[in-house]
Amino acid sequence: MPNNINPAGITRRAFLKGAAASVLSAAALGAFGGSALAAADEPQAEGKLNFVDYEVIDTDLLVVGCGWGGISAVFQAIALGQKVAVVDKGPYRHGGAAGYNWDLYIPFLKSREIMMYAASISTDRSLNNTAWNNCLATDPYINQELTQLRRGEVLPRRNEDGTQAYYAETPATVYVEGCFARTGQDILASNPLVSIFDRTMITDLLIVDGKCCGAVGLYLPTGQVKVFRAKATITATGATTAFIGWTGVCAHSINGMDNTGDADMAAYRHGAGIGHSESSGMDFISTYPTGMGYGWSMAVNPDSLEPDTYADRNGNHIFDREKDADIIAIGASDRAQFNSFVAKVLTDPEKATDDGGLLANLQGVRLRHFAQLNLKQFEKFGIDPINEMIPIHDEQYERGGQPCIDDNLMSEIPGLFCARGAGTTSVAMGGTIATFNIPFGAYATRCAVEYIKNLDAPAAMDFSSAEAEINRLEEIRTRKVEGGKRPFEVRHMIQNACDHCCGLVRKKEDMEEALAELKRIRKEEMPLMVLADETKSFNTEWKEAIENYNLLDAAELMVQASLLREESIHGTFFRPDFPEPGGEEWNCMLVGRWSEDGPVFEKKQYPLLGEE
Amino acid sequence: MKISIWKYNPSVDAAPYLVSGEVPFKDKMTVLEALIYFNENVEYVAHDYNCHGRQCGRCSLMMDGVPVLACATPITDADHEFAPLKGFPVLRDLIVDKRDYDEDLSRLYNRIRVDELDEEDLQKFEVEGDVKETAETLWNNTNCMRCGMCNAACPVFQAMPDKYVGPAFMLATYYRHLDPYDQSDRVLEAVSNGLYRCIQCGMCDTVCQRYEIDHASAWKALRKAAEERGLVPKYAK
Repeated sequence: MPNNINPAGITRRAFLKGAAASVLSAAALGAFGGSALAAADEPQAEGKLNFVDYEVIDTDLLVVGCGWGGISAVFQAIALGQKVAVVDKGPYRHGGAAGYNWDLYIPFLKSREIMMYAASISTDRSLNNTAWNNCLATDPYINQELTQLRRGEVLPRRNEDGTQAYYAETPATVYVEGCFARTGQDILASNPLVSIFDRTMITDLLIVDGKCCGAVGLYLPTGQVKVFRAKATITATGATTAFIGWTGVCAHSINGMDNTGDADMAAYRHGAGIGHSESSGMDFISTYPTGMGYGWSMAVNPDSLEPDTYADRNGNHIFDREKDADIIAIGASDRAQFNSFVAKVLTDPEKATDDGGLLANLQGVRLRHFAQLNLKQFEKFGIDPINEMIPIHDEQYERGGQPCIDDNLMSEIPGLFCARGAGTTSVAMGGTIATFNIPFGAYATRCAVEYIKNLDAPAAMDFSSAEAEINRLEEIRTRKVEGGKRPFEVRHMIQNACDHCCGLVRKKEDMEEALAELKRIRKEEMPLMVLADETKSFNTEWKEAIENYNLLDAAELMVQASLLREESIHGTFFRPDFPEPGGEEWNCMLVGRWSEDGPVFEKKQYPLLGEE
Repeated sequence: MKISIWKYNPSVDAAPYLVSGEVPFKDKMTVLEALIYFNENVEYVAHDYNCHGRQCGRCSLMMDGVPVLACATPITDADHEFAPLKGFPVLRDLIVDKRDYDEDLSRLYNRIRVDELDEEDLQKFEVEGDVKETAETLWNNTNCMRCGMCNAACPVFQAMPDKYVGPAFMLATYYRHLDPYDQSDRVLEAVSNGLYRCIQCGMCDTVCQRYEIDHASAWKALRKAAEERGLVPKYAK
């Protein structure tokens, strides 16, 4: 099918016949002397292959991404006796954000009743309240602490008598220290119902008769394409924040470099509505201006749980324990709302640092365990964060921008389910957290299994969309252009464009400038992208080039959605031109759909429970 | 700084070869920063990283013959040589294949027990030693990135991988040995996997970037348990 990546919708047969050269427009692909497409016209050199072969891997259920959501989806699958193929872009157990093997201080759900009560009184129309209710009502893993214990965790914060020593406790949740994802991944790897395909980057969905019948993956170590054929596909692929800023090693985000929105943007380009692109999870935990920046190993604290650590440019605490007691209380349970108070400080030039950040004042602060361990890391670099007050900056650790979902977590593409699809959380949430990935991942599987039961086989199996995708990938790999630029150069342009407009404070003029620049990059720079090397063995240039299409789409969706939302949402972001939360007219999700001229948005309002 | 890097593309090159280039030093520069600068300004070098924060273990490589975690290691203003992490097959340049290592390690980490855990087990932590100390050690050891640097640095593992599984694997066994919910004989497992081959040189502790993990104490504790049960192999007596 034609789209903005492959305007001619070239098919495999056309490729092999060499008709490609005359059909494809130079504007989309750039000049291509000596490309693999043109080679099809030449007489076949002896012993030289001139076609691209691919594997087909058949499964009933495909899960893309194996972080918290994916792990949960797969555990639910095996509990139902369902065979499942799992694809991970990184090395399994080390990929995405869950692959960090870090202690997230996740609040674990413990009460189904309280969460369902919350759903029943929700007035939030940016949230799929029905999906929320359905998910929780049938969740077999609602005791998340026990679930984690069963998945190999030891829950190692104990009192003398062996009982749990919780970091914090609310009626609905317990905060458990020392809880990691990897032991769950270990169990799944040994399970006979699970087949894992890691180091495989999904570059497109497989669409047959308008339904998602799997996905196209690039096996990075060899450059071979694997086409996964599945009756139902679940994506659980994390948040894309890798397009915002650049420090020399990463974006201004603790989130992983793996997470470039590959599956999400593939869905977008196939017509799926993308929701909550403007919704961001922000904190100040792990920032330092240079190469160690935005890494968990540089985390010293500042987030809503430690309000004492935020200081202004002069080193003074921005929150007073007595005068701001109500703000501090909010921080304990509502990070987004807490951030809105921090955002106001950031807009004050008397208080913010020159680069729009703050300082971390750790004097007299009881650091959390992980932060205490990080002190040794700072020591290695000759930094004393207790006595020096290191610069911190808001960073986006999570984000929306996934396909929006119906009550059964299905996207607008039949057969494609999204474990953390837009609507599984509110626009005010700013992405999601593991606490919700766990139930929603499992719910996605329950819905997908139900869908499979009632599914008819397609009239005929048609791999033409996969073959079109392979042609696209091959063209990227072999492209030759005068004045070509390596993928990192183009990626840095995207990252620099979004650097200043997508933080906690979003100014209209900054966003408009960014949008114009993104459009310019798409038109002028993307066609110039060429690889330093075109061989197939673990070609990271190729990977980065493919990712750039996804980052660009994600960036455009985010900036445009942020511009369109004329309100400040509770600290997901603060707009100086619309400083108050909007009324009922903004009680909605913004859904963006692909068009030739960029995403077109509409407002979507989910019904509240009890309505129609 | 003159940075030299071993490159190798198995689908093209006869053998690994060295490339060099100038990388400007700056204050508080990390190895990863230098590597990325090289890739962007000198020559393409395939490399892997993700978390940029001392968690995922993917950026581990050899610098001047020693395993380092690129994202978390300061680079000094001097000439340096980068090579792929020792003991793993090279997929390309600095990217190695840890799949077999990861799968084998994974199996060791799986808990072995008779019955499924229940709600009342959440509040029980029945260990032989001190509860809080054991819990603390478990917490520390969960942080293992499984980066493979300890195995790369271990002289015994490098010399005889068929007789000693290496520190990363021994740590997995120790983890489940301490885990009160595990019911397997992890002491036997440790000895069988070469606990007594370890020469207790401390290289694992030296290169490990998870400061909270104390390998030396782990090996001592396992040996003590083995001795108490008379499980010392003939070659170690």
